[in-house]
Amino acid sequence: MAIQIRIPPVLRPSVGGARQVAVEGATLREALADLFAQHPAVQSQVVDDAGEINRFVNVYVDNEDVRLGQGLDTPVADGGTVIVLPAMAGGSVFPPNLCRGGGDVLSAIGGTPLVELPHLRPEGGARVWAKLEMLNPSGSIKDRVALSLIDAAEADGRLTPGSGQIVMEPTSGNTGIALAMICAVRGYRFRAVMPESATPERVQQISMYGAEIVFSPGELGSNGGVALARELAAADPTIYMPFQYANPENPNAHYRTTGPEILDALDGKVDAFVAGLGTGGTLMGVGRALREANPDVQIVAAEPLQGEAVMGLRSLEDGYTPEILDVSQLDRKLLVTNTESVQAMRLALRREGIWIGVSCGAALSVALRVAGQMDPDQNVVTVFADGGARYASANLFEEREGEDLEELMEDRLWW
Amino acid sequence: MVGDAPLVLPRALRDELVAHARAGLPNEACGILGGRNGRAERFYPAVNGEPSPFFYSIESRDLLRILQEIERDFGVDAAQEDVEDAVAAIYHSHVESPAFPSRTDVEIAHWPDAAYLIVGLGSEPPDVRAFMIRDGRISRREIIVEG
Ligand SMILES: Cc1ncc(COP(=O)(O)O)c(C=O)c1O
Ligand SMILES: [Zn+2]
Repeated sequence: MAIQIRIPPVLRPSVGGARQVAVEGATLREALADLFAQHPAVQSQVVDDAGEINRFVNVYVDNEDVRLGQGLDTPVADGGTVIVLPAMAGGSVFPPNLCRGGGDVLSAIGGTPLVELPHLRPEGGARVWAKLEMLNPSGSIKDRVALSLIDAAEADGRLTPGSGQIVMEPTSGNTGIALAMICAVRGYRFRAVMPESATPERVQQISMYGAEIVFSPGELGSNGGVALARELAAADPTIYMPFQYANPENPNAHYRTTGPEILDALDGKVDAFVAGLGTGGTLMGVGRALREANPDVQIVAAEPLQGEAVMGLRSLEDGYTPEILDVSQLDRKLLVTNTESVQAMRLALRREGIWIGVSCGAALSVALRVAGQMDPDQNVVTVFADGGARYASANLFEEREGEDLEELMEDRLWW
Repeated sequence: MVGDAPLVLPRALRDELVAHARAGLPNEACGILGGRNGRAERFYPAVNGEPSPFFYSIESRDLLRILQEIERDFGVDAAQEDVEDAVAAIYHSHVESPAFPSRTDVEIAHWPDAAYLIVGLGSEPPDVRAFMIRDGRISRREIIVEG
């Protein structure tokens, strides 16, 4: 005779699919120890590190909840049955013990605040919210993407932490800075391929983390960087190139983290989402998560005017459509000029006290336009992908008499 | 996992849930809907073991009792079937926030085959919505109110 432990469906993958497992023991503690000896994977799902039954697991012996009696010391008779049932529980707030951080710096990625922009809200329009992505450890939303790219490559064995392997990516900015940080922490060499026209702040920050930089011709823009990186990677198979433009881990990072965080902060009530389009990762991943929660949500791309391909954002007419981008998932594309973007950036500083980057100005400008067309009980959400410090050398933040913003912004890459 | 069939919810049951959610104020209310093949047929109200306006947990003895009742009422053959086969939905209320799973709801959702049905009392009339929660992901499940 033995004791039968009934395994609920959610735990069966950890016990080879069994519906019940026969064990020996005189007490529940011994019976569970035998279960864990037979199926180690199930242990952490039933008990915590101290060996106590997890808070959201109920264990019954003779149809009695052991927590209300002798706990793990409950005697179990030969031929008896132990029932394990996951709790049916939940709530409506975010318990403080689930806050992020606590590991190395990479554990601080994500979990950024969503703040309201009440001082910029159009009169009679929707409420406007922004996710402060410049608060990620390397200073931009791309920390989420870079972490998910590297994690995926480690999971399928293409990268081994500490190996000093070369990771290379065409990026003139935030993705490069984020990859440079992560490679420093995980023990890889990072090589960024970028156009010569990138701002000095970016070049400097990438090299500060110990990365190498390869320049591509400035006049060919970011497409030139992509072409050169592809050539270099094809010539050396030991190089790992995540290539965020075609890697599903880019949108997945946002589907798994950015999107659910926004839904959580607003309890699922998001009526429109506005973001700039670089690789399209943010719009695709966040868009998918929001649409699953509310099929009527508007997913809006802020697109630079054709020819003003300088915003960090991509004009869809400029030739290259990233593989991860499915334009049919966008409800609207609204055009934004350089001037409007800089003006919105200045407004964010002066009225809301938030120093944002140039592409965020474009997204903000469009978000305010969209909010003006919506109702007061609706929510428009945008992301502030990075902070203004990265663009300080461009001298865009303070107004100058007789300035010509269009001219000031020419010949520069802003993302 | 796309395309779970809609959850069929008879109007009388829906009204019963909303009344139960209101009676539970100021705290969240909870319970289980018995039924097979995506069709809710019977409401089993449960005791919230950790009563709070922000939390619910079906009291442990009540949970086992209800699941055993469902086994009996729906003729679940314990040798071959799981009680899950006759659990159409797990229900709870949100007293103010909208009928959308909170981060807490998702973190501790361990019943991948049951719909999570939320009655949002923050709007009038209350919003009743269903979701599937699997591996930390939420997908909306359409509800067809019948009758
Ligand atoms: C500052 C900034 N804004 C917006 C974007 C666009 O994001 P995504 O690549 O997810 O489309 C990027 C990325 O290139 C960026 O660096
Ligand atoms: Zn809830």
